[in-house]
Amino acid sequence: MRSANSSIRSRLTVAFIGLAVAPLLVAGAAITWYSYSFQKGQALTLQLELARGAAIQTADFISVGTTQLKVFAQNIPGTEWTSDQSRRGLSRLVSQDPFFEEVSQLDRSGRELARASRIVVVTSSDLRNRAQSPEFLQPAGTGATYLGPVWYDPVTGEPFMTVAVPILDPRTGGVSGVLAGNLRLKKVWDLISDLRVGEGGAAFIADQNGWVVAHRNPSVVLGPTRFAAPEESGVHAGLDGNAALVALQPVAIQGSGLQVVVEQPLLEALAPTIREVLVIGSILVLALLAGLVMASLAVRQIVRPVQGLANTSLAISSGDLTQRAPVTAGDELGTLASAFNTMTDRLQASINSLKQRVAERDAAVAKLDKEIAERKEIEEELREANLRLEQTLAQLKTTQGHLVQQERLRALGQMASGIAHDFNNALATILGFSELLLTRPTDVEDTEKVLAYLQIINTGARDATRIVSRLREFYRHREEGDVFLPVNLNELVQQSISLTQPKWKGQALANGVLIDVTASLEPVPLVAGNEGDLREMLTNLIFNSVDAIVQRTGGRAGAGVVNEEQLATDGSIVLRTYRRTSLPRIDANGAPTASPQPADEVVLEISDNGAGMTDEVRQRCLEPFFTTKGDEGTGLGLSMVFGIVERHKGALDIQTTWGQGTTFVISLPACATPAPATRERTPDAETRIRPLHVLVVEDEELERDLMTKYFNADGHTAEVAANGREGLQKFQQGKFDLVIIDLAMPEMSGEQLAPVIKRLSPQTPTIMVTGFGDMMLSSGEVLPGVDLILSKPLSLGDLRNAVARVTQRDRVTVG
Amino acid sequence: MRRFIRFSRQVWLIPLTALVMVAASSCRTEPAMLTIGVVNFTSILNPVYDGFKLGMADLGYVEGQSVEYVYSGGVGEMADLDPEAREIIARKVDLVFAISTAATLKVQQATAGTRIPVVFAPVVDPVQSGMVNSLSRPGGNLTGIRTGGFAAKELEWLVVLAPGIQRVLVPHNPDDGASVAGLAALREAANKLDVELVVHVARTREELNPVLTSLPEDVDAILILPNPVALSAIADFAHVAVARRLPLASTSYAQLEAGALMSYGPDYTRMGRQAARLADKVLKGTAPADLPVETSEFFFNVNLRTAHDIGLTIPDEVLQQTDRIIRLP
Repeated sequence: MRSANSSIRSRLTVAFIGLAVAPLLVAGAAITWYSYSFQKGQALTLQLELARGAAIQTADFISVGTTQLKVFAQNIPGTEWTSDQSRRGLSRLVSQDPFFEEVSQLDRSGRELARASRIVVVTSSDLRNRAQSPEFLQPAGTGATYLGPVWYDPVTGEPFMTVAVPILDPRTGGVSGVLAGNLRLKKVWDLISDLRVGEGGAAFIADQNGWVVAHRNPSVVLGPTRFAAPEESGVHAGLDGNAALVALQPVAIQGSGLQVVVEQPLLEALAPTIREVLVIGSILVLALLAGLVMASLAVRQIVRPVQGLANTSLAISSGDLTQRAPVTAGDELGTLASAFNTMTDRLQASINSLKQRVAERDAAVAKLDKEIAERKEIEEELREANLRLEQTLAQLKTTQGHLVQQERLRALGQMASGIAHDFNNALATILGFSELLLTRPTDVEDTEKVLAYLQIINTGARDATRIVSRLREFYRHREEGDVFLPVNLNELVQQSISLTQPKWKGQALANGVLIDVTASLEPVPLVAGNEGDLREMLTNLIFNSVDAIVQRTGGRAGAGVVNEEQLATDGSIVLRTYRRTSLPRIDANGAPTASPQPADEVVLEISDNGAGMTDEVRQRCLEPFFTTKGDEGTGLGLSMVFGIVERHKGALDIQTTWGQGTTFVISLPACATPAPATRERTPDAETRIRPLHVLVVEDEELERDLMTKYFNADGHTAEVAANGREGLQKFQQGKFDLVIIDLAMPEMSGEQLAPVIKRLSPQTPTIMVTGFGDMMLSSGEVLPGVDLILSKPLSLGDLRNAVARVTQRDRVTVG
Repeated sequence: MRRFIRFSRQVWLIPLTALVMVAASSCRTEPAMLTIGVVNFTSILNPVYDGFKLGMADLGYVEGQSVEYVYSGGVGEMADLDPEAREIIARKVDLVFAISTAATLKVQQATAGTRIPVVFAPVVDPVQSGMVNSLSRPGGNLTGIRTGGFAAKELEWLVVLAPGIQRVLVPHNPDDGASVAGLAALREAANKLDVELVVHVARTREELNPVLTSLPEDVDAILILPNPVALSAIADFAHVAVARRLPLASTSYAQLEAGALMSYGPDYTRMGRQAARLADKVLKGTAPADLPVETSEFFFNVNLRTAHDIGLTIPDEVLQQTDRIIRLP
């Protein structure tokens, strides 16, 4: 964070300073270098010019001095000159604008003839022999001018140069003597002193050894001062040892070794350059400042807000939500900071809200915990209550079962008398006509009469059979569960009417009430249902109507047996069925129930003109144990009806008017599956079935013979066995297309035999015949090894059908 | 950040300081008024003082603005020199300009132990007088213009102008170094030139009176050494010399104007200018110890009026060798 921040700052700073300074630096360096070179060259050129001028002047000075000597020498009148004359002449020479401090005339041998000095008095005794001195030897020997080295007066320190010229004899042309003088180089000082090279610059003349001969400041010469002359002009150590621009120019006097030096302190020589450098430096400093200021501003305007943001972010990330980023400007960073602050505000608000909600949740959770605890207690209590309820319900169910059974027994009891009556009627017919035949043998001869009697007897027997079967049907086992099969409601209505006939006909008549039961049945689709339940429903409803009619009419107790015709029709019960397309049913909550699609319904209406119901009774009539019949009723009839309708997903509507009658409207959903082929009551089996070899295992001889006769009549052959063991032996010995087995037999029952036969020959169909057939069929009982069950008593038709089915491997129950 | 700002604030100071320094160096502050004390033995040497001031003016020292001179004129008497020198020193001067050997000796004594620089002019032989160690390296707080021995040459020219002179009167002040040195050189030259010196010792102006009032009969020339006592009476000597038609030789052009026949020696004004150049160096920081003593130039001057007055004819050959001539009107 610190490093990233200092990185941004330093980068900005470097960028700004770089932008401000770098170009200036480059340009400044270039300008400085150029200026330095230029200035140095210029200054050096100027100095060289000055030096050249001074050198020329110096050379001129020396040559003038030399010339003076030469002119004087030419004018010396040879040997005619006396010593005194010579002295005076020399004196004049010395007094000339003082070039020479001292001048001597030497004779041919090098002795001084005369000498003149500006300082001392010279007499003849002061004259010296200078034969060995170079100032004599050179001019005397070669005739050339002698220019000696620079020397210095030991007292005053003044520089001198010994100059000597030959004195030529005009007659001989030879050297007659030498004129030698000490040239005062001090006079050159004046030449030099006028040379001005800047403020601190100086021009001076150095001798062959570097000693300063002439300088604007005499002290330098008198010092004396030595200058370490460099090889060539340029930047060197100056006279004072400091760096200087030094120009060198030799004085063009042969052998003098003098050179003019013009020097200028380097700083002064390069003053313009230095000034430029200063200016550039100042600008650089200003640019640097500007860069710093810009960088500072930029840092202030960029880094500081960013840092503020970063600090705030850090603070926030560490949990301090009270921090806010400083909003320093209205620019993008300001907007960012504002947005950040807004975001933080919202975050804080959200967190506060969350905290509040968490607190609320905690409270709610605490409350919930409490509630849960309470609810658990309640649940526990409920569970206990439920347990008690279940126990109670179980008891209630048991009680209810008992009551239902009781009701059923009551109904059975009610029917029993009617059934007995009917059965007696049938038996009476059979007995009567059979006795007629027996007692009147002559009538046997009358075949037509016999056939008529037999037909009546047969009908009576059939009626009896039907009466028994009616009873069986009623008593069918009820607890097989809701096995819904396609049911023809019309058939059930017919069955129910006949099944309840003893009630509505017999008992009603016994009470002096004539009840007419009519059925108005339209073709209707099958309904999915349980035949037994639906039959019970119908029976109950008919009973209920009968009771209602009886209740209205009050009955005619003790009326005795009356003829039907004598009675007016007191009651009427009408059963109607018809088909209706229903709208989707809506339950109490308004939600569609069952199929939301329009569906076919089969409607059953049972109307009576009985007592009807009051509103209160109507509202409560479906309640269990509610009864208007006092001790006679269980109060379960209509509630069972309602339960059955509910189980069949049907609807029950009661339209009733007190004193006028009641109509129960029951609608049941039509079965979607197509109706199965109706029972082939009278199949044309004779033409289809090939002759069969049948084994009949039956302990009752009469039955055995009857079945043998039936089979023979249809062209089949039959072997018989009196019990199971015998039947098994015969089956093993012969080959049979069909086996008829009675259920109840001594030694080996049908139940035991059938599986053995099936195991021996699985392809051989077996038919079980039993007096319990209807009950077995109703209970759905399946016997192992049995393909089909037939109920006794058997008719030829029943047998034919059964044979036809099993031989076609069709295991359909017939009954 | 804060540190950076503080740093950047300090950065401002850098160019500011640089600018101030540049401004300060470009606007040179006015130098404080310099005080130069002048000690002079005799008003005869005033031309030295005048030349000094001219030279100083040439070098940029404007009297009353950048320099002031403390000068009460030539004291005239030897005894007054010492108090004068001490009084000048007490004025806390920046430099003392001592005129004449006698004055320089007193100033040297007065400034002993101080660092007050002293420039002298003229002094005949500062080495012998103990003022400097050597001419090229004075070594102390004194430097200046030396005249050296010119008395011999003065006598020689006197002989040239007036051939045949035998006895030359020389006023001498044994207390004055210049006079002593001059007399020594003069004696040597007199031997060579076969001239007899008649030395008259006079330590004060009054002691000259006997000579002036009754010049010895046998002297045929008078020669003045750079002896302030004698120089201060140059007019009287000139008067006496003309009256006796005797040639009078002196040291400088100033005495020529006072009536001397000739002079040989330094030019006081030029000497003053020369001394001013040294004073400038000293005032600008060069130690006198490092400033070599310079030697003055000598000049040969002739007064044709006096020559006429004393009936002396000077050959053209001689005149041609003079530097300056006071001619007949």
